[in-house]
Amino acid sequence: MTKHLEILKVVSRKDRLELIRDYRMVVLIILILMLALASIVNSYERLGRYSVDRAIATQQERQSWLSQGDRDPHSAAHFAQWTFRPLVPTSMLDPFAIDYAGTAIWLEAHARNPAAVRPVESRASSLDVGQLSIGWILQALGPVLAFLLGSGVISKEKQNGTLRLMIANGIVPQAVFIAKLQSLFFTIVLIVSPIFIVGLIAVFNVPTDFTLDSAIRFSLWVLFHVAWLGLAVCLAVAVSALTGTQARSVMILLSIWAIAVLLIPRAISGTAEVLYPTPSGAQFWAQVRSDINNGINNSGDRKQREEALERALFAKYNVASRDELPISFRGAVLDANERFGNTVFEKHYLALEDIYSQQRSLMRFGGLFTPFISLQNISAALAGSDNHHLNHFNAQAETERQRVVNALNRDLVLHSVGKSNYTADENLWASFEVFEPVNMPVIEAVRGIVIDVIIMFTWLCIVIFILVRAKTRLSNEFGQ
Amino acid sequence: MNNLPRPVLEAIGLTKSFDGEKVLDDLHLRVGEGEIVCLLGANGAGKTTTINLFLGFLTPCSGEAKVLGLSVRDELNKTRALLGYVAEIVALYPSLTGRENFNFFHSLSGAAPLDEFELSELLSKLDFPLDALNKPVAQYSKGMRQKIGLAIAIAKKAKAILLDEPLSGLDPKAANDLVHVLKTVSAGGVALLISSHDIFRAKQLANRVVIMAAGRLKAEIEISSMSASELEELYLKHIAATH
Repeated sequence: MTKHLEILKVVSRKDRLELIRDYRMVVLIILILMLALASIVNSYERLGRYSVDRAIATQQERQSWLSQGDRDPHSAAHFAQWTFRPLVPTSMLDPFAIDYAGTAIWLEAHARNPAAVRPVESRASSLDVGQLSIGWILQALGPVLAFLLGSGVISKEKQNGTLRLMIANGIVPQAVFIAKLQSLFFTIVLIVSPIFIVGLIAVFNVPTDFTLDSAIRFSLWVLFHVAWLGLAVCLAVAVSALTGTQARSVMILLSIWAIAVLLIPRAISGTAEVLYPTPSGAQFWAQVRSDINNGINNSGDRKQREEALERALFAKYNVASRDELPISFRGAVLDANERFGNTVFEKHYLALEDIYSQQRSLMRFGGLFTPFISLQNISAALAGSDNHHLNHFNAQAETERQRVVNALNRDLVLHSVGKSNYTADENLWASFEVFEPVNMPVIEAVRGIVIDVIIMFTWLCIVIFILVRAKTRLSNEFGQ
Repeated sequence: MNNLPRPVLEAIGLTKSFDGEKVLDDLHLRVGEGEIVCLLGANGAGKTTTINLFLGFLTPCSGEAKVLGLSVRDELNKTRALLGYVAEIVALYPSLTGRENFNFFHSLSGAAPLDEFELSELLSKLDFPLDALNKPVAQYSKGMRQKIGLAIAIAKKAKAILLDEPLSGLDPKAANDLVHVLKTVSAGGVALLISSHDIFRAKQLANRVVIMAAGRLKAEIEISSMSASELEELYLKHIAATH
C-alpha cells in the first residue's frame, strides 16, 4: 500500500508538472474555469433578482387583491392574481427547465393558464446557443477536459517510450495504470473544485432559504457530477491504454463525446417530438374553447348545460321559476361553468402531460445510449428545475385557483339571492390567505430519478469493465 | 574456468518467433560481472529481441533468460529490479528538466534517493554537463539523454545494463565519450550488454563481441584476440553468408 501510494505520488507529481508546462492545457483549464465562474455569477444574480422580484410582486399582488374595493365576487375571480414559483437555491446550478417552463402562473376564473414569465422570452438575441449553466459546463465540457488531459496518459507514454522505461525500471504496468487513473481523477477534481466551492458559496448566499433540503440537493448534485467526471476519466484512461498513439486516443474520445453529448440527445429529442407531437398553443386552446363552448365530445353547448342545470335546480328545490330559487341562479351557473371548465382543463392538461410524459420516457430511455441524458435528468431534478418540480408547482397553483374561484362563486350563490348588484367587500378578499406554494422535498425529487441513477450506475459498471480489460491488455503488452 | 566472472545475464537456448518466423534461434549467451558484451549484427539479426527477452517485454517460445540466476519468466519483477535499460533514443519527458526526469525514474525504481552531492558526483562521472541539469530535456542532445538514461540505471544500482544501439547517430566525439563512460561503468562491476552495428566502436568498447545474423549466433569472439580489420572481415563474412 505504501509503495502504491509512493508510485501514485511520483506519477501524479510528474503528470502535474507536465500539465502546467503545457500552455495549451493551462489556457483550456483557465477558459473553462472562467466560463464556469461567469455562469455562477450570472445565475446567482438572476436567482437573486428573481427572489427579490418575487417577494415584491407577491406583496404587490396581495395589496392590489385586498384593495380592489367592493365588487361582484365573480368579477374578483376574473380580477385574478399572479402566483410565483418558489425556487430552491440549487436551481441556479442547472436552471434547465425553468427558462422554458416559466416561473409564474396567472390564476383566474374559467381559465387554467400555463406557467408564464419565461426567461427565454427576454433574451435579446433570437440565436439560442444553449444555456451556459455550471451544470452544462460540468456535464458537457467536463468530459472534454478529462478526454484531452487523459488521452495521452498512457498512449503518449507508450508512443514516446517512457512507459517502457518506467516498466524496465521496475514498476509493473498495473501500477502505472492505476496510478495514472487516480492521478488523472484527482487532477480533474482539483481543477473543478473551485467551481464546486464557488457554487456552494453562491447557493448558500442566494436570497432564498438555504435549508437542509438544499444542502442535501447540493451534496448529491456534486456527488453525481464527480461520478460523471470519474466515468469520463475511466473512459479516457481505458481508451488511452487500448490505443497506441495519443492522436488516435483523442480522435476516439472526441468522437465518443460528440456522439454522446451532441448527437444522441438531439436525435432522441427529435424522435420524441416526431413520435409524440406536442400540439401548438393555438391548437391546444382551440380544443379547450371548443369543449367549453360545445361540451366535451359535443355533449352539449353552454345553453343546453344551463337549461339542464335549471331543470335540476327546479327539481331539487321544487320550484317553477328562477326567482323562486333560494340561491342565486347566476351564481349557480357560474359555479357549474367553473366546475365544467375544470373538467375540460383537467382533460386537456392531462392529455398534454401524457404527451410530455411519453416524450420524457423516450428521453429517459435515451440514457441507455448515452449516460449524458441520465445525468441531465439527475442534475435538473436535484437542482429543482425539472418538469417534475414544475408539475408540483402547477398542481398546487391549480388547487389554489379552484379553491379561490369556487369560494368566490359560493359567496355569490349564497349572498346574491334577489340582489342584481351584489358586491362583496374587503372582508371577503382578506379571508383568503396568501398562497405560498412549497417546493418538492428532495426525497420526492430523488424518487423521480431512480431509473436515471440505475442507468448511470450501469454505465459506470460498463466503463469499469472496459477499464479492467484495458489494464489486462496493457499488462500483456509488457509481458505480464 | 574459476577466473570467469559471476554470470549476471544468461541466455539458455533462447528462441523467439513472430507469426511462425524465427527471429531468434537457440541463443546461448553469458555476460559476467564487469563484462561488456556487444551484440553485433545488421537490422533483423535478433539483437533487440534478445534485449527485450531479458527485460521481459517478450516471452521466449523456448529457452530461458536469466538474471543473476533468476528466471525472467518466473521472477519478472525481481529481474527487472536488477536491470537497467538505455534505449537508442532515451525516452524522457521533454518539458521536464534533466533533474526532474532523473528524479522521476529514480523514485519509481524504489532506490534510496540521491542527495545533491551524490547526483553531481554521478553525473560528473558520466561527463554530463551539470549546468544543463535544470534545463528542459527538449534542449538535450542524444548523448546527453543517454547519459541521463545511464545515470538512472546506475543510481538504481542495476547489476546489468542493456543498451540498445547507444552509439548510432552520435558524432565521433560523443561516441568516444560514451565509450569511455561505459567502460567506467563496467569497471564498477556492472555487466553491460550492448547491441550495435558499429564494428570499430564495438572493438574499442567490448570484452567480447557476439556476431548475430538472422536470429542466430554466428560467432563469439574475445576482442583481445582480434584486430579491428579481422573483426570486420569476420563480420562481413557472416553477413554475406546469411544473405
